[in-house]
Amino acid sequence: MSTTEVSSKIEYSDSENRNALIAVKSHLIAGLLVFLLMMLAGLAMRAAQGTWLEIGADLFYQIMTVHGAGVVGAAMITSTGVQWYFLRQYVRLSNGVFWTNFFIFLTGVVLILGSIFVGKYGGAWTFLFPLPAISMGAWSAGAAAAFQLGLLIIGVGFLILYLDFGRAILARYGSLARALGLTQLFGKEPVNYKHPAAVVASTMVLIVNFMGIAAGAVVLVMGLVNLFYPEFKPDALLMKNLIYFFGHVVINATIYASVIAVYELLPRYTGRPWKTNKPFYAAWFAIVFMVMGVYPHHLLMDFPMPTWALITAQVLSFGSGLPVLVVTGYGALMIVYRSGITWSTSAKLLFLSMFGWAAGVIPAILDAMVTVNRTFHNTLWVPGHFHFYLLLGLLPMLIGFAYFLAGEGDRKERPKAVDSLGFYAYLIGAFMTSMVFLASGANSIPRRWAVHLPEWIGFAQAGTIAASLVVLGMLLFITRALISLPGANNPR
Amino acid sequence: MTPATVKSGQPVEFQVSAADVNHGFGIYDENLVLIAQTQAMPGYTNKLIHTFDKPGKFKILCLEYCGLAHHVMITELTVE
Ligand code: HEM
Ligand SMILES: [Cu+2]
Repeated sequence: MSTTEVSSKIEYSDSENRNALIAVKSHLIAGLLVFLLMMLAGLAMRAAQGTWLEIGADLFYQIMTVHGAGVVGAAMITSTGVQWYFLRQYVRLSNGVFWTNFFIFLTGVVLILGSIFVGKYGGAWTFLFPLPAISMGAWSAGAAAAFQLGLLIIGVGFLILYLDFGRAILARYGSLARALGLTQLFGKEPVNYKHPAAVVASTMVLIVNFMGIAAGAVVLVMGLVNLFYPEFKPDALLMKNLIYFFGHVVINATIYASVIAVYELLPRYTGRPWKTNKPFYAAWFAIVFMVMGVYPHHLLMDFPMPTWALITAQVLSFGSGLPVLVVTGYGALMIVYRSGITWSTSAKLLFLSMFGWAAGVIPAILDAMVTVNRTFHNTLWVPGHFHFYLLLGLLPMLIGFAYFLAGEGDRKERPKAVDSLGFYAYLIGAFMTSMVFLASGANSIPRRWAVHLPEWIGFAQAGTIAASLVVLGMLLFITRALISLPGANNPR
Repeated sequence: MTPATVKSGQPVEFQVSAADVNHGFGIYDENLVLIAQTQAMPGYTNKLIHTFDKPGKFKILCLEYCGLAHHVMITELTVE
């Protein structure tokens, strides 16, 4: 096939495009609002741990459960909005399927909210078997079932969406390998610098999420069966493996879906194209396996795990994320360097995301070393690592994209003073939130404790102050998005 | 946990399991520094071998979320 054919864009009717834009905006607005609410929940948890807010342990753990499930859901739905917006320009995607997933998602959210706030389910978003079934009377089997059913439904919605992605990618490129750039990497085709990065990234996300969600569906179904037929007792270690595989893959995939915004938007802001090449393909190929292979680093303190799995996980963890991070970070630097880029809020956020992602990987690599894991596992070090790369890596990509759609992409608007205030409040707050978590973990403070020992309260109070800054920044971002997004035209 | 007293200077083997749900078994020293841990899981017994280099009052804290009483799971371990 000729190169022009591979890189040319798909034509849609005007009405299809209008409808698609509304759908993308709906994903963004819904996702960002959930993020804001979940940040308030996070602030409440920090304040409770810092004794500034009095809430019962049952409510704390319900908030913790809704926070975990809520942010993961918001990350999935928002990043999917970003990914779909760009992917549909290269392969023919269905608006109907995109909307279907959105409404299935909302149905799942209703079930999950009901299970937590009506049914009092507080078994954490990781629903670690057999906790949902054994609550000592805190919640009913029905509440646990509603929660798991909600997750299952959301998973099924995404599987349907990925089937559409897969169909469309195959229709255009013939095979997933070709879409990933492997035919170019292995010399079966000449290297095409215009092969869209969005297609490469989407193919990777499609593969890993399909596996991850399938594993999640299996474990959810087993958990649901166990709730109603307690004689059916799956093995606790097997369940744990499946749950962490699922959880690790889906949350990681959100950043690989969102990074498409960096590939697509930095070129617009700098006027230089993002060129795909062999290192780029190799990195994305490697990451397919890395994202799926590292999850046993959650299980280093489970001594019955086979040694080979733990060693593989540890080795992969050292490099996990790095290949894509390196090609993306390097690419971003090169494209921005001396380009005379206008530092819109969108451009600033996208550039920040590179730093946040890179820096957030370091504590993860440390924790995946078994000697360190012995004293960091299940301390606040772990939330420290993932808040770092999610707050400073993932969210800036998503918010940066929202700013692009809200007008900076089209009218080349310059940031207003409120945008800058939002940016710095968010930046400083998110950095402090993550650092306080990391420092707490280094001081052995356990994660998921509703009530902190007196020695630990100072950390939680510092964390509360940091969290208020994040919330302030996010409020300003959201207000801006809500005002400008609904009426904004599709940037040309 | 039996016995609640162990000796310092020689390896102690903890056999950690759980009756109901997953828990964690984290050993904290007198300064609340986490020095060793393993998972406690129904159907499995994890062997954690640790040598205490000094006597003192240690604490065991639960390190895997196990429900509403998770943060209340603290017990003492005396090392002679
Ligand atoms: C203002 C911003 C935020 C604050 C103050 C905050 C605070 C917290 C707190 C206090 C916890 C429980 C820590 C513990 O184990 O004791 C937590 C857990 C968590 N947070 Fe956040 N968070 C924020 C934003 C986010 C965002 C944006 C994400 C994801 C994109 C996120 C993902 C998570 C996850 C996955 C957990 C684990 C839940 C669990 O342990 O079951 N957080 N957060
Ligand atoms: Cu516990």
